[in-house]
Amino acid sequence: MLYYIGQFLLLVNVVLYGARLSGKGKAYRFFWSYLLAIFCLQLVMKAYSSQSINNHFLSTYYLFLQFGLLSAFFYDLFVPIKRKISRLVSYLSLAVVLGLLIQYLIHPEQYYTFNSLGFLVTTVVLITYTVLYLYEMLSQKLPFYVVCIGLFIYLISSSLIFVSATSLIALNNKINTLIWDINALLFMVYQLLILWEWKQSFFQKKTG
Amino acid sequence: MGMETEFLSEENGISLVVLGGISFMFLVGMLLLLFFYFSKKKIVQKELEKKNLELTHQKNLLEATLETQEKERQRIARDLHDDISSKLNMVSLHSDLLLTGNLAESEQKEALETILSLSGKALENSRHIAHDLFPPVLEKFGLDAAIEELCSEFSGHGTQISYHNQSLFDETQKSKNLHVFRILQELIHNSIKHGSASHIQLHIEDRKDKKYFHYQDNGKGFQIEDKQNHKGLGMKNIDSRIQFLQGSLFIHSELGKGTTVIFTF
Repeated sequence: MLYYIGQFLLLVNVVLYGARLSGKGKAYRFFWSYLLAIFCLQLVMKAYSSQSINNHFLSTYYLFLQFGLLSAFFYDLFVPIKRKISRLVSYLSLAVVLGLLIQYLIHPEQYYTFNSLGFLVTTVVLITYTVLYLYEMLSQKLPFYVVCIGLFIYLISSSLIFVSATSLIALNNKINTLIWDINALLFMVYQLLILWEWKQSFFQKKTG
Repeated sequence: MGMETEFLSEENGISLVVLGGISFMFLVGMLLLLFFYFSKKKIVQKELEKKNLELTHQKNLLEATLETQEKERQRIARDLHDDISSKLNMVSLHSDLLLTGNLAESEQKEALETILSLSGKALENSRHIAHDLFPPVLEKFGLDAAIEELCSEFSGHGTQISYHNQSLFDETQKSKNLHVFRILQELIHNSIKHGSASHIQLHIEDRKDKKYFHYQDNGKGFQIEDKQNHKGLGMKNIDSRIQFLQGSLFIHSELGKGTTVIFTF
């Protein structure tokens, strides 16, 4: 149930953010692409799992798309604030992507399983970006602040779920469902915050 | 059966750890957000306090400027009244005397001479007042010449002023130069009137693309900590002019050891 609410809110966000796409900066476009990408992926994942087909290989795409698009999003957010940080974001993100690619080259079978290490590393890096952004926000008003707060809460809380996902499967169904329900709840809160950001920052600005 | 319960309890252990971990991470995240929130609030408050302080300072300066202006007007009015009106009054009186006639030739001559001398004095006084209001040298020959004239004007009467200039002034920046001139005028005035200085040194040079003014007297000096000296209109005036010049001011003084003023812009 929670999953469907989250997915519905995500759809709403994709549509709302998509409707205001014209005239927005690169960061906005990357963020919208990220929303669209995870919406499609989650849809396909659900379709696979409902057909009882192993959908673990899709998590690889989730991993790369989430990390790549959010890194690009943060890169463009940092460009007008501090060149140093934007450069750090680009180098760090490229290094992580490169590292992941090497990991997949060495262990091609990883593609078909859930990559806990990959999720751990990318989540930590993304949390670093959000903290840096929150830090910059101390002294000035910056766009996407609610999104950033939402992303921070979601990533930091759900990180453990993703990292331990492979061992979670071993647990009995009841606990497993509970943990994934918590994840769905966190995701829902995250989407609500994204929606709130849209209302705050982009809703009335159409006329302006 | 026994093995199963053991397995289940182990499972419960893991799930508890995971659930606890999730809650812990969530809590840490929330705490961090709260930390950011309160830090931001504090920073904004500090900034506000700073702005308020600046505003008060600017208000004080403005008040001082207005007060100075008012004092200056009073002084001009007094000068006009004492030095010119009174003399013109006498001229008019003597002219009246001449018109009514009944005067001996010698008396007529005397009256005319008085008129001549009084009108001459009135003329000189009006020139003085005009000069005090705005030194013509500054307009015609620039700041360097104006400072030189200022020094020679105040020299004598037991005061000696030495002036060295190793810098060139931009004569197109008239308002800046006027500020500098007024600051020096105020400083010299203070040294002689309040400090009873007998020797004043003024040295100007260029340092790191800035004009560097070193002013020193051997007067009575004052205690820097004494707020009374800072509140004086003259000091406030200098302060506000330095602000206009976007420069910095440094004052050092000790009782009985003279005063040193350094300002750059």
